[in-house]
Amino acid sequence: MTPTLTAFLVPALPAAAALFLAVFGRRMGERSSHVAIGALALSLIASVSLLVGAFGHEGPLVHATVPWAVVGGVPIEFGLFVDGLSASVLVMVAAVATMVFVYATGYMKGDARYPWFFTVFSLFTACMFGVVTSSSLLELMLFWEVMGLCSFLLIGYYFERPDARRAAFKAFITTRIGDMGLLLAVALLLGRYKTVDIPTLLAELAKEPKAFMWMICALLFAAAVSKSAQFPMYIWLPDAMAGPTPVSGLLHSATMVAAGVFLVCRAYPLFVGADFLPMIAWPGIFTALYGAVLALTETDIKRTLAYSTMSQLGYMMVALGTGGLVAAVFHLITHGFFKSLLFLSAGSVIHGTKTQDIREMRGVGKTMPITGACFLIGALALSGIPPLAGFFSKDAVLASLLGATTVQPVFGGTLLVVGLMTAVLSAFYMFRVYFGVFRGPGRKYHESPRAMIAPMVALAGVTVVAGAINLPGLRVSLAGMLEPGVVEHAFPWLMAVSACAAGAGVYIAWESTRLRRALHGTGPIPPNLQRLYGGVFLRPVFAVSRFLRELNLDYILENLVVAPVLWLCGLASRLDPDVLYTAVFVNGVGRVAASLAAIDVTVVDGAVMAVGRAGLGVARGSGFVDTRGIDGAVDGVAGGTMALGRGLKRLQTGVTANYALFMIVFGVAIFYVAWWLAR
Amino acid sequence: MVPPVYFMVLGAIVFLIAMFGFLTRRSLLQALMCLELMTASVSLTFIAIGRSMPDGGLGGMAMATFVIVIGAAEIGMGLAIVMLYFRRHGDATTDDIDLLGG
Repeated sequence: MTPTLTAFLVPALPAAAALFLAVFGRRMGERSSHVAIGALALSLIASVSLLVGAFGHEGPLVHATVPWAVVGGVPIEFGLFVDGLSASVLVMVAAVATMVFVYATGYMKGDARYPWFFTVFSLFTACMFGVVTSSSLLELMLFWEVMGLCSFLLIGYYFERPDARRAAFKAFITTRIGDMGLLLAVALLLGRYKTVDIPTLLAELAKEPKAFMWMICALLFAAAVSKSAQFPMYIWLPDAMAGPTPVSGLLHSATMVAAGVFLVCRAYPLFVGADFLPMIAWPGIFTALYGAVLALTETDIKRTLAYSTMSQLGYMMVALGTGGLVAAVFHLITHGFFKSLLFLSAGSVIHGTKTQDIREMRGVGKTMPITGACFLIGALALSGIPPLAGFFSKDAVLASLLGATTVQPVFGGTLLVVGLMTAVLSAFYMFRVYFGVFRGPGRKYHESPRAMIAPMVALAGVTVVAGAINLPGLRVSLAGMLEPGVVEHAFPWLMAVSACAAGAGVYIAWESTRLRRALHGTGPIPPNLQRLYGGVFLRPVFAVSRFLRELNLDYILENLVVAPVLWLCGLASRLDPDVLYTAVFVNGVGRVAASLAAIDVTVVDGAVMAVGRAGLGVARGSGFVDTRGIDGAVDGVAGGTMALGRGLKRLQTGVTANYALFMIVFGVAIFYVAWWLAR
Repeated sequence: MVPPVYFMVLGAIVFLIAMFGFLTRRSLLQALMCLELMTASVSLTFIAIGRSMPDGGLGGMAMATFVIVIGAAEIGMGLAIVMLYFRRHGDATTDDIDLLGG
């Protein structure tokens, strides 16, 4: 098979599976997952073969386009574009998605809408593949939008619950705001260059003045920010936990949120050329820290992981913002693995304990040992403990920040310090959950079914070894594929510092857990803990986290985002943030929908009704012609004949004498006429 | 010698009488008699006309012979019908025979 065909199959197979399931899913029932998993497994094989092909390949492995449409004389081309970046992300997405799909067969067992779940899930994954393999910006946007729709459907999967409905709506609308940026960028570029081919556009844009490039960058970045849940558009991410856990596992690791980072990676030469990088770095580092702080006091296990996702995405963004393309992609890939592992483990815990509140989970590790081990591996990877995958990728990110200090000491230094702080906090919040939920005495729970455990173990295995894909000095590595020829600098002392930071986080978490147990009256408070708590670290950090929680920045942000719209709408008098958010996002859209519905009823339905009435009139007219005209003619002929017959039958009296008289009269008449003619 | 026109006038008078009788008599037998009278008057007329023809009346007489033969056949049929009708209905008047009435 040619690489082009292989690249086509990667998104096409899950899309075909989705189509197939949409039609036959209901009839297939529980077997529908086989179709989805089969298609995805083939996609995984195709992705791996693409990755093998991309190793050491000069330039893009696949760049094929077909003309899709001609609009205003401009040919719109759709196609495939696969290079090292696409191939490596594809493999990660396919591997994670396959594992999550297998997991979902166990987690969703017995669900009423089981086939529907796998239909949308397949389409969702197909769209992510589509985003990664698109050669055209318009095509990318198409998949991007459909992915948004699928996220809406999946987050709102339990649509019987109002919070799920609201979360789905919020995610859809919030990401849609950023998508406007992508739409504007596509429109601008299409209008200027008459093409949507990404490599061509990147080449053309490199010749443009900085201001124009900067504007395009800002538009694309807006889309990436809302999709990848960066500050201030992160507000949809924690609420998105209303969906089923497999959805969270895929949406928050490999697909949805990864798409935003991928977009920036794809257009990276443009971002570098436009000097846009600091604009990526600042929101990125802020989101990294902010997410980590919020995760500290969160009590919902899935929401904790959601804030953690935000924080890790911030890492990727800040790596991109300091020129660390390889570091960002590396972290994107390892994060995809260990975050999905964490989500699946959390789902397993939720499955076993029937709660999402970490305060109600105690000593789960005793009776669910495999889940506990998997969560531990995920937590270690996320914290950056060597030699797990997260350690290497996080170190690559920090190395990228360190590299920035040589050019801009203050900029790079600030980022590095905050990055290290975040590393400590990440280990802290992760192990606070781990110690609290899995360690210590607890109730008896049942380990999850094998369908859920198997993919978790597989992902755990990948998480352990995934760091090897970018070992410094390796001939075949991620860096060699993404930026061939560039020698990556390894900083042994930074690795040590990063590992120490992670270790410190774990230690603080352990002490904090002991402290909490002590406070709950299960033991005396050790003096060193009192010092730790009394002002050195824990109290300020917890205080900040609680303060931020009580500040309810989510709501304020929701309104900051919409403030200009609010001002325009003249709704500024309604100051309650929730009301404002509701007023603009929910009611506003609702009102637009209502007015559209009104237009629909009056104009569209009116037109339809008018056409209907006109048709009815025509039908009545033709009916009249038919009954009165045609039928009338026919009836008339018949009636006339009948009347004539009625008239003529009077002549047929049956009286013999009458017949004789007629005979005589007409005989005489005939003779007379004959005589007259012969005369 | 009596001119042929007198015979023709006599034939016409007899025909009219027979016709009047045919139209007014209610008995089928009387109607048949009137028919016979009509054919007789027609025969008389043929013979009278034949006299003035160049062949010396042979054609007229031939026609009269044909009329007599046809009249015999006709009266045979007619009498058979009347007899059958009479057997069926007990009488034979034209007033009752109106099955063809519309």
